[in-house]
Amino acid sequence: MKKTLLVSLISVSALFGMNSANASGALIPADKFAQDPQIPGKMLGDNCSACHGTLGRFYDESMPPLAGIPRDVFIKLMQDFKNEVRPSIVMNHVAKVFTDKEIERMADYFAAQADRPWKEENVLEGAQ
Amino acid sequence: MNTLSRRELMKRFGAAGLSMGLFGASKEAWSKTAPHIVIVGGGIGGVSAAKYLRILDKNVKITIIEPNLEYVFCPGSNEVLNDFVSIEDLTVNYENIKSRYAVNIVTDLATDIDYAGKRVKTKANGFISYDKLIVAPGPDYKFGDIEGYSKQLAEGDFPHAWKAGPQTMKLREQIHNMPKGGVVAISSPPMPYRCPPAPYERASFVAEWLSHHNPTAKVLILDSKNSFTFRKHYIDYWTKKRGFGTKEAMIEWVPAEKGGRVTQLDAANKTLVTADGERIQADVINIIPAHTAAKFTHDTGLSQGNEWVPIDPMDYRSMVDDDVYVVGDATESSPMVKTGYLASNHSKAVAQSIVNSFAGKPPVQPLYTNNCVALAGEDYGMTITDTFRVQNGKIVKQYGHQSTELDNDALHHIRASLAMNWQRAFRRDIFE
Repeated sequence: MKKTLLVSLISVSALFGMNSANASGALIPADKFAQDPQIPGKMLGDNCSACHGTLGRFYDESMPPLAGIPRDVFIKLMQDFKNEVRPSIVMNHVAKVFTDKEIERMADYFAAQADRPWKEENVLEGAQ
Repeated sequence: MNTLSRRELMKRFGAAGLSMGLFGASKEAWSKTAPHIVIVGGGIGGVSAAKYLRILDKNVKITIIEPNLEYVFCPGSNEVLNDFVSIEDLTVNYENIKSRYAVNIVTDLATDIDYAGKRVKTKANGFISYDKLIVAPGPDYKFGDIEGYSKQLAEGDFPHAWKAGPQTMKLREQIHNMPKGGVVAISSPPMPYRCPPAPYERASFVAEWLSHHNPTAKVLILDSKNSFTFRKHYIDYWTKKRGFGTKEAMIEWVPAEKGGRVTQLDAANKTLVTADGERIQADVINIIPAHTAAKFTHDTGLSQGNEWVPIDPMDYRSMVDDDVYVVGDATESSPMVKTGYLASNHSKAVAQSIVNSFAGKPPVQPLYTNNCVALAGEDYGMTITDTFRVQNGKIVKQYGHQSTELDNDALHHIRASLAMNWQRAFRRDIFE
């Protein structure tokens, strides 16, 4: 299922050849925050829930789920969004604010989440 | 724990309720020493706090004090005006929050805080004791800023509809029953107010409905500002679809510098008076009043005499009491804007900080994003991507991006569908 969703993300962006570089506000590069106290993976990852679901566990919306995503797949995706290798409607602007370490911590967080929909009776089981 | 006594609970909920767990909400029994977290307000901020607290900690007691049995989401409520969505689509209740997350719901109005006694006063249930208190009351409206406008008029023939619910339905009915060729006047408030693009989204959806049912009618936006969020997108859409800038324009926008600021309502004559003294009669008048933090925060001293409640951005702790947190639109969170998206993220920082404090740990370094959407029509969406960090006790805007592309219909469609998807996913993230 995840594979299908990732493919559909790619095809949408390829179809319209979107230019995501037309930012309307100045970006303070993520590295400027590299010396700050670490933002834990959970704090970073829980900022994704409004689109990708609580703990990344909505499987029936157009934004793909993130729970259980393999660490290296997540890192590659986010780095490609961040570096605008993979154009997208929103994710380039979401990803470019994060340091490499932050992306890794988010990857660990989502990889550890139970890979099942936020629907069943005991949704809290497997939550990290 | 000296929360509501067992006898009081028996009185109100009966022995059957108790045997099912506190308020019938939970299958688990809390230990006598389990800390009690009380939340004032069952909107986006309050409910996210409860849900994300429960994800972090299975053992705390959580109570929400909220006067209404249902909550109507503001995101999406402009789309009720042209029947794109129904108010039922936006309406949720507290059943999931009670049963899935073992949260006690007290249907009541919080009226005061006894800081020394660590308890909240309610209208009908006396005092409720807390170990930690989260205040999530949203904004109130400064009706007095527009002479002649009042809460009573807003609940009658002049709905602001800036809190989704009966006033949204009233405004819808007024627009749908307007005489042919009538005028809808929208007074757009000064910053800060909740959801900055929403007055223009509202004008767009009203015009969309009128274009089908009352094509000679007009929407007049009288603005207290000189610009607005997504202005390029809205002007683009209105120019292409609503004759903006021509004699036949269905939408007209009057910025403050051209006399758009409304200062007075003459309700008897359905007339608005602007700062320049111009009198504008309209068939439907929708005044979106200026905002201030909810009255509860002023009454309890949380706002410390300010328009908005000062907080420590590390974890949204109040400046008045270390055990009291305030989240959402009521807070002084500049340069953040006031959105439900941000309110839900304030609450996640609060939840983490409270759990940490029980473990004797400091709050974690927070992150607050506002990755939000708006619509100009069913076929035209917009997106915003804001990121805020905290450095040296101050909120720093790391990045703010608004979608900019104008001449790409396919992209507008995709963003519109993304916006609808976001609205649904967001409602689920808070209440499911």
